[in-house]
Parts: sequence; structure tokens; C-alpha cells
Amino acid sequence: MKRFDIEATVGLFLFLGILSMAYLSIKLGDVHFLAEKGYAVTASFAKTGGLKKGTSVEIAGVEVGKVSDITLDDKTYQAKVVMVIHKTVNISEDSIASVKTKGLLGEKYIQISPGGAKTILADGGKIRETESAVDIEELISKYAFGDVK
Amino acid sequence: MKYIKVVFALIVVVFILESVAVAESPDELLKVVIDKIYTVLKDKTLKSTDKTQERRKHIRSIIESRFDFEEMSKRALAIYWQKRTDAEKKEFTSLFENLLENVYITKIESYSGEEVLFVEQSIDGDYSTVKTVIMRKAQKIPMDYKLMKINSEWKVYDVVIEGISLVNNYRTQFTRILGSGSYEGLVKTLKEKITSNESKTQ
Repeated sequence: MKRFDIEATVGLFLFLGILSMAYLSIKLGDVHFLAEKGYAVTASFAKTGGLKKGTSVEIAGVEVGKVSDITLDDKTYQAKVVMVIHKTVNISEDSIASVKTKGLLGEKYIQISPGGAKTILADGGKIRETESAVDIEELISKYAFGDVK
Repeated sequence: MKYIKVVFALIVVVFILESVAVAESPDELLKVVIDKIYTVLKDKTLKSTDKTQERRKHIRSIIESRFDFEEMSKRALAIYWQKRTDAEKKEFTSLFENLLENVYITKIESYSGEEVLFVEQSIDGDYSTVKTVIMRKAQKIPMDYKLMKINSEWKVYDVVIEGISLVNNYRTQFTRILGSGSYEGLVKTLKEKITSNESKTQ
């Protein structure tokens, strides 16, 4: 009987260990078994500048959603970015989505400046106003070396 | 009797065709605006310095015909627009219009007929984007006009230069000012800015 108790305890701890491992790998690996909670909105950008799936969508620096898909529109050759926004966050129709850089050379993320229109975007809605990634290299070359006639 | 019907039908058809021709596309409307401004700038009778005010009045009226400053102010004030009374909205629109005109009038006046390339226009329902490039001697400046149908007329509500939206630029600034201060404070700042700009551009 005593022997059985020890074995059961070891088994229990082993089981707990496996559970924590599973939890850790799901959490750290950003794996989502269920569809993300929220609604999807799309936006088209002329240039995304290395935006990746899973990057955050922010309003005033607070994460309100994630980029769930980036595809190329084969007609306009623009990048179509799908974002999943938390259900509790309302985004008005005249909001502006911009691709921004964290710091001077950091990673790219999407920032939304909320607008004031009464119409709120529903699932599958489109943010019409966008600002593409600003290519710093291009700007420097344009204005630093632009005077060569 | 039959003839009358035929003639009537023809008249109707002609009218329909005409109305289709009148409904111009956004890029053509913008071309007209740019041409009009250029004609004013080239006008020798308006060139002397004492005619500056008159010339600017002309340019303003041309721009006002195609730009919707109320929509611009609404978008720039964003969430704070709904809280304003009608009188405040009106006042703000005219202040914002004044501010923009003061900032850009000297830039417009420096325009000397550089070629403006119309790259493409896309129409999506009541919204349209017209992409243009201003060909300066040394550099090309991409400039996109955003238009929307307001009362079935195409009006510009945002200008995107080098990928930076004018409305978003002011929206960020206004939200920052209004987040920490009052609306009255913003109006005061705008008024001060306008008077200081006016004395500079004179």
C-alpha cells in the first residue's frame, strides 16, 4: 500500500510537469488552438516594410489586436493586411492605420489613430485611410542627395 | 403621335448621355484645379506685390471649390469633433482652413508650372484616391489626393505627401493638445499660430 502511494505521487508530479511543459510551449510559441477572439478588419498599404504576421496593432501604445494575415493583391500590387482587433475596442470608419517603426531602426508595427466618425467598423470592415512604412533610406537619399542636377 | 414619342425618347437619351459626360472623374477635376491655380499665378495683372491679397483670394476660392475643409476638420479633431457644438464646429473649420492656407499658400505660390504627373486613380464606391507626382528639378514628390463624394460631388478630404497624411499629422497633434488641455486652449493656440503666420507671409 505504501509503495503504491509513492508511485502515485511520482506519477502525479510527472503529469504536472508535462502539463506545465505543454502550457509553456503554447504560451511562448504563441500557438492559438482556437480562433482569436475579436473581429477582423483589413487595410491596404503601398509598402509594409517588413511587417510580420503576429505583430501588434496599437492605439496610443496599447495593444488592441494582432496582424493575422498579409497578402499581395494581384490587381493593385498592394499589400492587404488583415488585423484581428479585440472585441471591446471600437474602431471608427475614418480611423487611420499606419505602419510605424519601434524606435529608429526597430521592428514594424501598426498604429491606429482613432477617428471621430459615428460608423464603427464591423467584422470584415476596411480601414480606408492608411499610411505606408516610411523608407528612411529613400528619404535620406532624396533630400540629402536630391540636389544633383 | 408616334413621331412625338420617338422625338421625346431621343431627347431623353441625349440628356442621359450628357449627364454622363458631365460627371467627371476625380483626376480630371483635380487637373482643372491645378490649371486654374497656375493661370492665376501666371496672370501678369496679379503679379505685383500690392496685388498679393487679391491673388491669394483667387487661389483660396479655387481651392475651396474642390477641398472640403469641414470634413478635414472633422477627421483631424477625430473623437473630439462630436463633442463640439455646431457653432464651435463652424469656428474650428474656418480656423483650420486659415491655418492650412497660411502654411501652404507660399508653397503654392512657389509653384511655377512643374509638371504634375497623374499616376493613377482608384475609385471605390464613394471614395477615390488620385496619385500624382510633382516633378521638381531635382526631386519627385509623390502626392496623393483622397477624395470622397459629398452631396454627389467629389471633394478632397486629405492629402498624402511622401506617404504622410495631412489629416493624421494634425490629428496626432490635436489629440495630444486636447488630451492634456482644453478645447479653448487649442483654439487659442490656433489663432496665435495663424496671426504669427500671417505676419510672416506678408
